[in-house]
Amino acid sequence: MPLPKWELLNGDSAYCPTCGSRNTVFLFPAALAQAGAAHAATALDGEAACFDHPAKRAVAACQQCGRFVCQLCAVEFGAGVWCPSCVAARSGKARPATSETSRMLYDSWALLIPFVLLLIWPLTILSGPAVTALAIMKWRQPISLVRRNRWRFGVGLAAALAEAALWAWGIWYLVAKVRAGA
Amino acid sequence: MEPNRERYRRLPGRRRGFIFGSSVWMGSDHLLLVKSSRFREEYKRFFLRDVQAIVTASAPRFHISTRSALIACLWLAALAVSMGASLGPRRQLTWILWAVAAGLAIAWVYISAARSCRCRIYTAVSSEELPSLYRTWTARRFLEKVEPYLAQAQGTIEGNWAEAVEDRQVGPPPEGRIGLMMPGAVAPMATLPPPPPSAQTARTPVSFLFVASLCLGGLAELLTLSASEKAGRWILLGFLLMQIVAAVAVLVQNFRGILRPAMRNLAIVTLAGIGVWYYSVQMAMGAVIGFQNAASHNPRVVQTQMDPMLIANYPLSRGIAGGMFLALGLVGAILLLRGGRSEERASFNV
Repeated sequence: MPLPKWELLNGDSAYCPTCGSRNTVFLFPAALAQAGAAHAATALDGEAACFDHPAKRAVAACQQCGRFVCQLCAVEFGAGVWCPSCVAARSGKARPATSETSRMLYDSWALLIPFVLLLIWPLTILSGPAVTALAIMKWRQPISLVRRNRWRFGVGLAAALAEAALWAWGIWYLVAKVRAGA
Repeated sequence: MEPNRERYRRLPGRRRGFIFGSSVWMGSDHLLLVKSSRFREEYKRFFLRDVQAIVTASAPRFHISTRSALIACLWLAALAVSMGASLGPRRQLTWILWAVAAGLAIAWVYISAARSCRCRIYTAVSSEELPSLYRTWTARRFLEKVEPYLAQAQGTIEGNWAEAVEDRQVGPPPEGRIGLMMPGAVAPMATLPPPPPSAQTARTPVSFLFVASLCLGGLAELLTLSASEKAGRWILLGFLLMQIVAAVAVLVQNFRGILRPAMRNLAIVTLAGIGVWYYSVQMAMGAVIGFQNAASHNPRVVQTQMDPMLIANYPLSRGIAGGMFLALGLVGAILLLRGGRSEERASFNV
């Protein structure tokens, strides 16, 4: 939804006419830019036209397929310009980091599994092998865009291995006790 | 590994929830909004040259962060030690702890009600809430940090801008598709169908049952603290069972798209709270019994195993459970009351 007019017309500070909350607006020059700046201009005789919009003047060529694109179709992708078809065709494949919209945090999985399974402690017998396998398989996977270290992997692995060691000791102790009893 | 990884600097404000978190980071030419759900992060970028406006609106935000939960756990541990320890002036210590708790609760309510806000960022194609900015002082610090970068990217507006924007629209068009506003676009605006209304609600019989079980359970616990052991045990177990069943039903209804996520989050917090309460009370009572036995200097009376059902007999543990359920029930009641309000769907900005 756009910014309501009552917020804009009152300057920096305005009160909502419905709930009475105090709203403070910080406006930047992009709001005053001409809305038509991104309009595609009409192609004149002899001018190159957009592949998808033959009536519009081409402003660039797609760096992937070479099609001419108008202002409306030009997609800035990394350092170049792509057409919408190439962007759609490449979605889900190798993408530059600036277009990533989500990441799975395997290091958080590795950290939480051993501790969450403590709530149902018999399942901790699984946490050691599970977290070890996860750490080996995903250690080199990119973690969060904004975190810079992998301490969660280390702590989770240490906790899971400690649980596995406790299980091994417990089983060994029970076997030894049964043998001693026999 | 990522050789060309961009370095982000964290900006003021961070929302630390039990499950969901959020923060905003400054990149080389954009702001990065990170929404985290423990195991997954979602990113939205707002390029500095595209940001049209940032709006803060004063609003109550009763958010319980993991920090405040940690403070509550420390307080509970201190209370358990003060009530269980046989050394020192424990009565005065207990009163001091209750006074501290009351002070903290009053401060939290005041800050949540009077010093909180919602913050939205507007571009030509999106308007997005910044969940990490929910306290006014944090929003102020965030803007102080961000404004120089925006001024560097866009320049500044001289004079009063209210007149300049009189005939303009700031933020995305109502239908959320900038392309249709442009002349020469493929589809005319009139052909665009209105967005379908959200079918999700917060008011279903299951959600009413869930909130009622929380409120009634909390009240029953608090009002029957001095009841007999047997009655107390049955009251606690009866309401616990009802709350767990209702919480699971809420999760199922949310999965089927009937209930709103807010009620689902309340069910998750309730289930997690019951688990944490059960284990923490058991551990605290084990510690108390251990202290008592150690203090008795008689190794023969050491209690080697504690009946888990004993927790139902202690007024302190029942009081904590009652308070927790009542607080969750009040949150649920607020969600039910707000159930009819339509929620704005934010568009996605890549």
